[in-house]
Amino acid sequence: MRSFRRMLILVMLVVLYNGMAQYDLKKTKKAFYLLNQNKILTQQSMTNYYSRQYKLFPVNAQQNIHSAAEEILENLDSVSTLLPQEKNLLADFEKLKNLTEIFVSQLSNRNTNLKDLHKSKNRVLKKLDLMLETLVMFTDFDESFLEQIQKLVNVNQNLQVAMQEYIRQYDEGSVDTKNIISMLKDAGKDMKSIRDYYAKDKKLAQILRHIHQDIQLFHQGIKNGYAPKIMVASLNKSNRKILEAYSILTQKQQP
Amino acid sequence: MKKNQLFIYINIFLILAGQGFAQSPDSLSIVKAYKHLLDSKVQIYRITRDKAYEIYYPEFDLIQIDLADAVNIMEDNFMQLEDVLSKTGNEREYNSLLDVWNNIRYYTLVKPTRKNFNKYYYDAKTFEAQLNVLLKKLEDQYPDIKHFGESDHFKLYAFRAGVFLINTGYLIDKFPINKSLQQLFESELNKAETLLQYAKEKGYFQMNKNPFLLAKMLNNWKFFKYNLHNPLFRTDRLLFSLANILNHEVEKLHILVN
Repeated sequence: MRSFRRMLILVMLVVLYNGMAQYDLKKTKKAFYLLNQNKILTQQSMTNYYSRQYKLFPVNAQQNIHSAAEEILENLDSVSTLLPQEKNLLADFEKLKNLTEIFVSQLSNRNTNLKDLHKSKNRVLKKLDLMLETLVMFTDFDESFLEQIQKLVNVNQNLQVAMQEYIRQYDEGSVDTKNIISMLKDAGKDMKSIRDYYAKDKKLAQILRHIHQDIQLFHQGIKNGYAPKIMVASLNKSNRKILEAYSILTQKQQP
Repeated sequence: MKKNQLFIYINIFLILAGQGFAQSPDSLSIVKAYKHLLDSKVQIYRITRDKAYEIYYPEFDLIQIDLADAVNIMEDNFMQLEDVLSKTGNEREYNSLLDVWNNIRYYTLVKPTRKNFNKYYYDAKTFEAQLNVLLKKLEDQYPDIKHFGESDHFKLYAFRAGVFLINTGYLIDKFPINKSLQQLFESELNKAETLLQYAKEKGYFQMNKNPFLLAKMLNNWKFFKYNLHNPLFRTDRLLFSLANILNHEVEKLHILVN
């Protein structure tokens, strides 16, 4: 009877330990998703800053900057309660928080120099990459799933940087079309690959198709020398769709 | 036992009914969605007009600014529509409309020629036809909308779209693009006149709270018409701006009555 009780307690402890481990894994994955989302939002808010500075759609851009900044900070707040208690990771997170706060305050200032903002944005992105690399080691993500996430984040990055460059160069009167189109081609390739991967998921496939159409649209506009204002008019929608696709994609992997 | 069963059925019914209420949009959202649809018709013909100007005046600097504004409004309209229409069970019609818009959006960034202008025009017509299907479905589902559809507001949306069609028709008439489109100018001008006459007879303009704005709009309409038939000066660019002013003024009249 006594040995049976011991066995029972042991089994309960194992179940509890497993449960705790699963709970921690779930939290780490959530932290990974939120930090990756911040990567997307950071680039998108940068394009909106361009749109505001170059007076393309200043009112829309201002609203978008405001809501993206709010979401970036909220995500960081949530991440602080989800991270594994690992010394180096926590130290990196503190640094990330400081860098992000600087970036967000520069975003809300209309007089920030674009070069300074770029530097600040790059510091945030670098720290985010470092943290994401470490976090992956604490998870059990499927390789091909991680690849899709990475591709979607890359699509966003190429799209935003291409647009930022086009806005700046068009204003200066000389556009390096080749370089910008090559970024869009890369985005198109990644998009095609994600679409193939999720071809059977009806809702996601439709959203991905719309993002792909937007990339082709920008490509077309830049090739024909249209003003960036026309493309930026559609960019808000593409940005929303990228976040929507990201949210659906990550929900699929939630344990 | 029977009482218990009845209790369970009532609860299930209440939960399902509650979900139904939570999902179906309120009538104000439907009216807003209806207005976004009507506004989309205006913007689609504004884009067609811009593309027609681009053929003959590629260096005219107002075209791209105007095109960007129209695309921005269209994207905003679709964003608003998506949320509401997904709850009304009209996703299929909405997606068809979105497909046509995506097609038009793509060609918006292609340099137009006399040859491909027909495609813009008929894509815009297809958009209008799809839009009418959606409007009709909404009217059948929500009878309150039908009342709105018969109101003077509806006519003024048609008037705004008409102004852009007249402007397009004027160019087609002046620089014949295609024989099949040559009747557009006169027929749209007549339609716009009828709409204004109707609005006057219905007393819509007396209801308006800003007589100054109304007088300005009617004056601009006269000036617009005068320039459509002015053989002495090249007024094509002036007409472009006047069409935009008229669109903007009528839009303001809508807001004032609302």
